[in-house]
Amino acid sequence: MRTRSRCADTEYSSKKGLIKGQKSSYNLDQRFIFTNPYFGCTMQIFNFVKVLFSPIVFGLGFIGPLSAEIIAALAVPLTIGTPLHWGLLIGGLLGLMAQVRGSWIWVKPS
Amino acid sequence: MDLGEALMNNPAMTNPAMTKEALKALSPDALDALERKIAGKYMHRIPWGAVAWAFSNLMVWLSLWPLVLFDYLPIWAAFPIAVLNVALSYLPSHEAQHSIIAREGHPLRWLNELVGHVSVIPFAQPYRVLKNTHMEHHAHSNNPELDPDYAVHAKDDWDFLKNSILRRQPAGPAQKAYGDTMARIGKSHMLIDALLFNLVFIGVLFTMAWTGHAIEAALLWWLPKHIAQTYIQYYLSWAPHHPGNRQERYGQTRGFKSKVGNLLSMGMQYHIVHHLYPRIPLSSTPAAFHDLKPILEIRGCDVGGWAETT
Repeated sequence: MRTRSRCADTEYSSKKGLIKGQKSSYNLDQRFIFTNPYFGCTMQIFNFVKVLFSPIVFGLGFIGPLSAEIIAALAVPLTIGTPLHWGLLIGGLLGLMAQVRGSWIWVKPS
Repeated sequence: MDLGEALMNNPAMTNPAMTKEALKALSPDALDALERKIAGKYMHRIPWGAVAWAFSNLMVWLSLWPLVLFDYLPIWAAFPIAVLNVALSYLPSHEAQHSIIAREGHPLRWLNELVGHVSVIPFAQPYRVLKNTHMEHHAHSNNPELDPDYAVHAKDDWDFLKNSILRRQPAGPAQKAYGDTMARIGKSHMLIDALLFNLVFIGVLFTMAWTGHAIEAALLWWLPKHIAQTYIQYYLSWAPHHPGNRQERYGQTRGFKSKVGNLLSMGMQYHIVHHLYPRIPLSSTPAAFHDLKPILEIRGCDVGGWAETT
């Protein structure tokens, strides 16, 4: 059986459980939204979830303040900026790398 | 007296020196009956230890948060406890997944489901998704297409570790196998649980981080979850199924002697028994394994380092 989402130009094959052209690891949430009639098939929800669970948001939302706290706890001397500035820079760059490469550790999953 | 009972009462079956020869002489039906009879001795027991374990483990983990945040316990002391809590959170839920605590229709069914749901809170994984994907793992063990845990297979310990880290990267297939499985069995609506668990997990981490408690959040939940996930995958998926090239009933899993003992290997040395008789509680699998060992060896099971033991 093949259905076509009304909110996105995405074909979903319920037999194989695959979404065409899908590469992201966020397919778990994507599949739920596309196939669950009770919660509505809206791109707004999908986009919100996709952004919320994205590496760049995790980098800025968690790795950033975590790095800032570690910098402060280690009393690293900073000539410019605050620990939070540096933490957000580290978290943002790590998140950007994870977003672009799909890996937090540079090495890509095969 | 049925066939299995009659065989168990036969002195030839209880004399270790005679057992294998006597067992080989049995007809396939008689061997089946005897195997089921022995396994039956260990079923239909409520594992109260697992129930107590589920709630006490959760309580200890939850109590770490106020203890650390109000400076009653240093974070360096709380971190290893949190790792232990998260690592120990899966197995009681696993007992519930197999309805070992109480089957459907049993008066204590509510307890089975409660244990299933709450024990995995520290692991930040939803019970219904774990249960359904685990049933598929049992139904299709070592099948590259249908076993949701197949990707855990690796050629050795280090390869497992490398795979485990790489598979959970943003572009890795960690969530995909479970999502695909839920869609294949027509239960993708249950992925709402995974969505909610992830939302709560990320919500707690972000809130803690932006209120000045990022290190506490990292060492009480984020890092313990990653360490425990690796540990659980190693002992529950990789070690007992390695090398994972047999799919038949008596070849899906293997026995092994762990260097770290039975407790630290989470009782998985006897995983053969669990796959053959999933209703046997974890605490009874060592005894059931040793009782069934001669039959398992005749069946062609890989009992690993237990082959030389009596």
